[in-house]
Amino acid sequence: MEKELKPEKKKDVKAEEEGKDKEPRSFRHKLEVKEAEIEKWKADANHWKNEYYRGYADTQNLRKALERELGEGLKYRAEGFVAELLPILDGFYFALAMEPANPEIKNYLVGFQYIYQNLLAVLEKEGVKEIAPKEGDPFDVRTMHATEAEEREGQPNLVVRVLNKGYKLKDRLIRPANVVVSKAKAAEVKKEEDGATNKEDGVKKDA
Amino acid sequence: MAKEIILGIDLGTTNSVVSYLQADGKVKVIPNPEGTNTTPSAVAFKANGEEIVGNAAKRQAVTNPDTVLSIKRKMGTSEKINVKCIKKDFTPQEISAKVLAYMKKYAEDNVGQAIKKAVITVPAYFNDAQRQATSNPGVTPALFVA
Repeated sequence: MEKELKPEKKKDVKAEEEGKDKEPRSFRHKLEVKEAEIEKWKADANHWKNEYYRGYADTQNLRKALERELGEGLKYRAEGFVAELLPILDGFYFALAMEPANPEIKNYLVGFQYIYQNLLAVLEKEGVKEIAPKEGDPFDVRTMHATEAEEREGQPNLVVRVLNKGYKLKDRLIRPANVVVSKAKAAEVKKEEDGATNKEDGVKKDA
Repeated sequence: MAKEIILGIDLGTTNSVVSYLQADGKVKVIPNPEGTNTTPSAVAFKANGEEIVGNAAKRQAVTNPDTVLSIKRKMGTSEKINVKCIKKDFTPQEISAKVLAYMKKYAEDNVGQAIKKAVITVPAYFNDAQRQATSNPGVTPALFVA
């Protein structure tokens, strides 16, 4: 027969058993909480790592863009100044292109020719290049601006007259050379178009 | 991966401008390969199939009858632009798309990354057809237009 426990002892055993159950439960709970915290930290770390990568990439891109801009700014630093000088260079060019009959004025012009050449030499040192097409040169869209087209016999798209010289600063066009360009006479164009139409008709008939 | 860049394009009748919002919050206008901030909205065609867009197209407009200028005025209309030298018709949207493609290309070269999205300005008086024509994804290649 089982020995009956005293009521006090019974109480102690019960409390002990409850304590045993409670301990692992609270430990599991704590573990779960900690695991959840770790997951949250991991997600946070990933988030900030991602933000860092993006921020770093943005900074790198901005740095590159600023470097490029700075480089270009330095390379073409004289652009605005040169552009403002162009009307003065034009003035020199047109004045010196005159052929005065008076020998005294002619002598003056020789002096001005030197000044003009010196000015061009200084600009050349800065990287300024003249674009001076000649009559009969083919029209180049990269360096010339066709302000007018005149009907001429022969090949079209040739320089007929130069109105203004053009200027480049290093590889950048500051001002294109303004030119008058030749174009085929209207009668010739019509003849060509008629010829093309007849050819097409012939092809259609053959088909 | 760098932040996505969305272009802001002012597609004008005479000139167009492209810009974007920099990481520092400032708007930056992207200069074209010739160094100017504005690009003429001009497209020229040559018999050899070459297409010229922008400043160069404008410079040769007098000598080349197959130069298309002020295409914005014809947006949203059914009018076709006949290019004689290559015997081909273009819609105003197609011509406009060539200007946009040129600007997208030099913007990409400038920022050093691919660009897929853009916001294009239209005048307040543009009707729905004109707005649709401007943002037509079928002719505005590789640009999602808002």
